[in-house]
Amino acid sequence: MAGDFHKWFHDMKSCLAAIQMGTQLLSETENRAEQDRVCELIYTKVSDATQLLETLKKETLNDC
Amino acid sequence: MTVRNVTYEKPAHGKVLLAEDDEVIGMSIQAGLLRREIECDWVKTFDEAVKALKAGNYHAVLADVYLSKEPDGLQLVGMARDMGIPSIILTAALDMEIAKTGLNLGADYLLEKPFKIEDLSVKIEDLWENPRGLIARRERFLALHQLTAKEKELCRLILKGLSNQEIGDVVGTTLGTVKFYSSQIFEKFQVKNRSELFNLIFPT
Repeated sequence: MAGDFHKWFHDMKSCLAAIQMGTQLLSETENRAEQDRVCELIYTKVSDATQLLETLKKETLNDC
Repeated sequence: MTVRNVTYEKPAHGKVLLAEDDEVIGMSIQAGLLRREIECDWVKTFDEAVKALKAGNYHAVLADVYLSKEPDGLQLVGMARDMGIPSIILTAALDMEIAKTGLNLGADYLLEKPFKIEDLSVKIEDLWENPRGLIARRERFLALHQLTAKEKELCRLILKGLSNQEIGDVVGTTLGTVKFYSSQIFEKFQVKNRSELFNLIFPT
């Protein structure tokens, strides 16, 4: 995992950045259809982040 | 010769090129800037960005560092610099190497994701209000005076010090056409000749 950690960290940071900026967009959006679209995209990013956490957990256990 | 003090005004419709591969972040930036009356063309790949940069008329380039697995966004910064267009690097993977490379390539700002759209728009405004370097200053003036693409092309040659005949040879047009465009340019800048034009853009 050590070699891939830099990539993992970058991917996770990108996910979290997208979630935060998507949330910012959501707070400024009044159109319902656009809100739904943004929510869907944020949800995808949350799933990606969860997946990354699972990967880290699995790899950490393997290293032990 | 009349020397006028020119006050910069915000272009009515400033336009930026955004190169960002992430759907959520791209959408957030584009929508956020549009709400602040800043037009934003959004592309997701390096090739699309190069194509847009060459075809479009942008006041600034916003470049994500990683448009693919390589830090190709930094190449856009170099291209923008060569075209006299200011740029801002956007990255979630901020490290010293990226910062150094980007700034050495001519980036004006570096923003770490996530950031507030308000912070980005303040930086874009600053780039417009305070153009850095001679090329940026020239391009800013051309944009402010709403020259057509042809007028801009000829104006750049005038400012390089070429005579009407030399300009005609370079662009492949007649002396009469060059004189026609020159008078159009002088009229838009409200100057009488090329000396006044030069002094207006680069006052001493």
